[in-house]
Amino acid sequence: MDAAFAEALIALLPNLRRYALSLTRRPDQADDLVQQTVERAIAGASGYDPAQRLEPWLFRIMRNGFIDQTRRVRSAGVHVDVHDMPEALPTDPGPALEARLMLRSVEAAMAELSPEQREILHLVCVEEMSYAETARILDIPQGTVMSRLSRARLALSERLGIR
Amino acid sequence: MSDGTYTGKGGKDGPMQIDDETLMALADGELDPARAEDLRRAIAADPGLQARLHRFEETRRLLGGLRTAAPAGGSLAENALAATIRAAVRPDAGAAPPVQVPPPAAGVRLGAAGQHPPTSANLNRRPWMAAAASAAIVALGLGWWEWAGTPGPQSLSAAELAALDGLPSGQVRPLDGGAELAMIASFRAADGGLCREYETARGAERRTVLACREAGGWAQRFAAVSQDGGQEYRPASGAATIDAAIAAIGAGAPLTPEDEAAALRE
Repeated sequence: MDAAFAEALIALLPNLRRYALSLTRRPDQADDLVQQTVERAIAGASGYDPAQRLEPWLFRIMRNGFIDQTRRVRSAGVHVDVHDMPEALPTDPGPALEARLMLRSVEAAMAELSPEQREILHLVCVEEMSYAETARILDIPQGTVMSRLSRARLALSERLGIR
Repeated sequence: MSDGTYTGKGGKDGPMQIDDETLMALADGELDPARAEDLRRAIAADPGLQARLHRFEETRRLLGGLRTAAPAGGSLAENALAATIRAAVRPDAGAAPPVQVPPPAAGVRLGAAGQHPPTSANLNRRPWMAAAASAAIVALGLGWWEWAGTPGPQSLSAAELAALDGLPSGQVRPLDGGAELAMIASFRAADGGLCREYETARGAERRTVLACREAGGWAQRFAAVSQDGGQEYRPASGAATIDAAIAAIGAGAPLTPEDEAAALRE
């Protein structure tokens, strides 16, 4: 791993945490998942192809780590959903109240979707992954990305009352 | 898989038949410029298409708002991580980062009994369970059904049956009374039947179950109860470990999410 890779990785930490929150929906587990992903990225840095964008490569590591971890170890104790913890929700003092309320509605509508739909919406529309990158992260054909994404978008627009 | 720009579908002449995926690709900037321009002309003349496109543009725009709204609470952890990452570039400066193996591909079970050395057969179990399973197993005669309050080992609760029917592997669902269920993996048995492994947890008590879909519905093939962090490991049926039970049904590798979804729809 060289210094440029390290700085690129550091610059993407907020993106990694955002994706981790979307996967785990629990702030403490999101932090653990980011940590694990960073460790794996450092250990596997030689396997990264600099011709590719770093983000999809990291997201794929994170997602595989999350699936692996969910199968292997589940932490005991009460799980707190991020949506039950108002302080854990995104905060931004800037936008007007209306925009913040809309943000809340989008969060709430996302929470009602299936994890599969939530995941693909997050990767494409929040993380701005291309269809091809999303296909690689999720290990599915690009055609499946498009059909799944379009159904998820329509389901979300129904819940948000967009006609 | 092609990485090329999606060219969309639609008729070559007459009124354009434009499907949702093409409209979405336009909203997402995934169409090649010539195709996008053709589409925009068609859409400009058709309010119905405009309304359909609007749904994709709006969902994209609104979800984009989640990108700029930074989640609170992450900065401290990020600063610490950044220091770790920078230290890893200079091995002489501070402790080396923990070395981990590259992530396995999603959906690959880490060692099914019978296909790998015994040490790897338990890689995907919790350490305490591996230790307990290798030690002498004391059957205490307390099956999980006493804990679950149901009459016998073959009785799966309605919530468990529902999870078996529809919960994808890797996901957790709450059960009544503060318990929760985590779907672990799906397999095809040697006879082609669908089998699924899951865990339920209530307080410190954990139950690992293997159930297979038969003509009359889901039937339990294995169950074991354990105390989290404790020494007890109590198989409630013949096989000694979940790995042995999975081997006994002749299971192949865990199904991929797509194969699993297809199997659940059968």
